[in-house]
Amino acid sequence: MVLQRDVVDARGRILLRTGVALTEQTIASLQRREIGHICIAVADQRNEDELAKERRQTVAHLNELFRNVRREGYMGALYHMVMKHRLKDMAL
Amino acid sequence: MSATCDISLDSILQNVGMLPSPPHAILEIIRTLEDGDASAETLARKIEADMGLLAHVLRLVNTSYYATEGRVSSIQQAIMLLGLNEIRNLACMHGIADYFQEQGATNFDYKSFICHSAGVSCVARQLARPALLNPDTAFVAGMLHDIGQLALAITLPQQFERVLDYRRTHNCTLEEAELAIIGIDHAQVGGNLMRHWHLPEEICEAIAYHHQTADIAMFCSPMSDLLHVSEVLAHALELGSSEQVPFMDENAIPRLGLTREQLAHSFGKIEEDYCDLLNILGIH
Repeated sequence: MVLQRDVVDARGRILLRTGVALTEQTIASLQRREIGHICIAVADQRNEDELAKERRQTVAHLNELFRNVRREGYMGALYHMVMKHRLKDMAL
Repeated sequence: MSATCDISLDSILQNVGMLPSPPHAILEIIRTLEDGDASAETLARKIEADMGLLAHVLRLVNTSYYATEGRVSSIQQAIMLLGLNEIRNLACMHGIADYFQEQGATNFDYKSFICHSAGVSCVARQLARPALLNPDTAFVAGMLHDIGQLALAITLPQQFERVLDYRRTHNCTLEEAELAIIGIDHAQVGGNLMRHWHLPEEICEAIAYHHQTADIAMFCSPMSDLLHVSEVLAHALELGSSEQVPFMDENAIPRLGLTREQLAHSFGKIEEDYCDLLNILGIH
């Protein structure tokens, strides 16, 4: 289990850096400091078919969300930026 | 488009003006945004004037999110640890969310409303820095931007119900439905209400014009441009419930001096801020 985001305290000091492998000791230390939640990296177990299906669903969903605006100029750019952002974790 | 409601606009605004205002302490804290010299002592005094607010802010500061090593037992200590702006934002956010929930409007989805308001706050705060605007004013304006919806739902419940029906059947935006049924939209109502409560004019104007159209854009302030763009982005990123992305004035982004790249690079940070904010508010 690897940290995906730095863990910082209230003053912004980094307690644990992104990429650190979590051990029982580090988890216990975080609990002692009352850190309620952390982000961990999880291995992607989706196969190509599942990823393709998720991509199709994401595209259809965004098309529905942007259905009443013309996808030109800045609105067009926004549509493409959000699409890229949503699909970045679904690369085949 | 003609309004089908037979109540005059003056009467609507008069009704809305009778809505109970948030606690005095919250309004006073928001007003300190106008005072660049507001000290920690001034803010602490205003928070301490409301025992309920004081208790809530201390509770939030002592949650695991802030990872305060020792127990924080006073506002002065909280300001020293987390900074004046963070504590002011916490107090405003908590006070506004509480105020919304206490209003008791029927047929009103408070959770979606607060989530959307929190989403717009996060976008506005994130984009305020590159647009050279005050991120704390942007944050509070975001929390309050749709208060006109709540005001309409409370003061004109039957008409507001018809507005929601109209939106469903005509597949249009809420503000289009409000104009068609009531003859005024929640942005104008919210702006009027904020003026009635004597909140900073920058916030009043930003709320009044957050659904701006190109023909009135020349009258819009940078803060109203920011709120307008933040509203569209919050819908596009689905921060809170979103049925459709609304129209955006194409010129608002260049007027703010923002680039497409700055927008695209802000998405991840905005989403992280939004998750954190919901955690702090205890919304899951």
